[in-house]
Amino acid sequence: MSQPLTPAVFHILLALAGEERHGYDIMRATAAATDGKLRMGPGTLYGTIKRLLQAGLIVEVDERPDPALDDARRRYYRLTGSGRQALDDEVARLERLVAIARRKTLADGAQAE
Amino acid sequence: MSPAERLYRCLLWLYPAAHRREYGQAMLQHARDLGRTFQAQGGRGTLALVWLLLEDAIRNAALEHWEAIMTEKKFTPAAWLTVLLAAIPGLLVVISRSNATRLVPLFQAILGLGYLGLLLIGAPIIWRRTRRFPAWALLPAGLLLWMAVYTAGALLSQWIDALGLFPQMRGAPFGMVILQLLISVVLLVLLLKGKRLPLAGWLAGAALLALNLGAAVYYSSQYPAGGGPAASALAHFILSGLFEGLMLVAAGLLAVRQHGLRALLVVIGGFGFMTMDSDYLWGFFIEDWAGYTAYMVAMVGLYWLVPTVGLLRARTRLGSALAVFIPLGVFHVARNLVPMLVLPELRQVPWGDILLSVNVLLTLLLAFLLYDHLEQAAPEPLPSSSAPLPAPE
Repeated sequence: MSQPLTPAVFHILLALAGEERHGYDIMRATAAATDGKLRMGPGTLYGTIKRLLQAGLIVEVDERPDPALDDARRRYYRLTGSGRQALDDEVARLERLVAIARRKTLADGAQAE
Repeated sequence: MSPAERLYRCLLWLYPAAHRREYGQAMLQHARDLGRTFQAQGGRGTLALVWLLLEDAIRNAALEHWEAIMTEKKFTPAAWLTVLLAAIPGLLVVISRSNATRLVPLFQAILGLGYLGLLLIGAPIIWRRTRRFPAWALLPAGLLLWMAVYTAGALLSQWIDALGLFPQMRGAPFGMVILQLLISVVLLVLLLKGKRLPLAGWLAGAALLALNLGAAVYYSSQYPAGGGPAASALAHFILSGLFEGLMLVAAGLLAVRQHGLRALLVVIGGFGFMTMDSDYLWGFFIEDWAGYTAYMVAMVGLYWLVPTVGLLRARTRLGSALAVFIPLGVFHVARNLVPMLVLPELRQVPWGDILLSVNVLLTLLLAFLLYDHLEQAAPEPLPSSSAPLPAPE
């Protein structure tokens, strides 16, 4: 079984699952997905991005979605096949955990009654 | 430039240079974007942003430095051997004072003499073949210099006493101070002649002088008028703190040209025995404390291993500064604070130990400023602390 992903890794992969994004866009997507509870600072974001690049889970892309609307200095990232697999594995792991928790909650509830 | 950007430009210097080069601009852009987001929230937003940036930078810079150390391709087994060879004298000092090896003095003597032989025979051989003093021998060279001066100074003191040259100084470590002063003056004059020194270096030197002279005057005033042998001895102990530091800084200057900021290892090694030799560190006062073993292991690591590995590994000026001042700062705070916390009978603040700690840290600051200045001002590129860690020669 693969290792659980850290929250920063999971949310970066999740943010990149739909589209290519630059660093700040990833942070905004993460903040939106967690109701603002997880805000990544520059060190956490780029430290994690570096490790994901090294692990081959994401790649940097040269093309801009819309160059006219964008700052050329921004760096965009995309999920790789391995990145998608790692994200799918993590989602499956979380689903299993949620299912176990639900079953336990139901069982406890039935016992209480 | 926004305040967020200004703050983050400073915080970026905490990161390893390679990380900064690769991601510095993107991280700065991210901080700028965060600044715009938090600005809308007013004063509370600004505070939240400052906290986010500070906490994020400190935590992640430490992580990046650690990762750089652990994944450094050049940090080969041979390079670890360099670290081991450099750290052995520190371990010997510890072993020589621990209860276990007091029972087996032969082991201690064999180990100590073996290493001394390695240093005295190995380093000159390497010097002859490569024209380079080996990096691993810097720390033991400092320790050895201090021990040599201590021993020769004690003999000189006896000789001065026997001749009755300074009757009022009987029993004082006068010989040691004379030797330290001579070595300091000769080396400083020879090695710094015609060089412009940085203002910060002058200030650190002045602070060191003021600290030691102030302490000497204070301690002498505690004795009856006219001083007497005890006051003289004390004053000389304090003065020897000043000259001892200057002597080590001067000796380190010999290594700056080849080793850059790694020459600080000479100063650390030179202070090693005296810094460790405290009743509150491993004396009879504290060794009954339940946490004593863990405390000692941590202290030995902080003094002998962490700065050694850090300095040999550091690629930047900031890396060298962090490698020296963080572990040694923690060491000296713990050295003075822990006994006061764990020994309920210790009512008295150990001012002598505190003075020694401040003295050592100020001397290291002076050495850092001088060595850094000389390294930057060197006409040709030096095999400096920014170079990769050399394999043991």
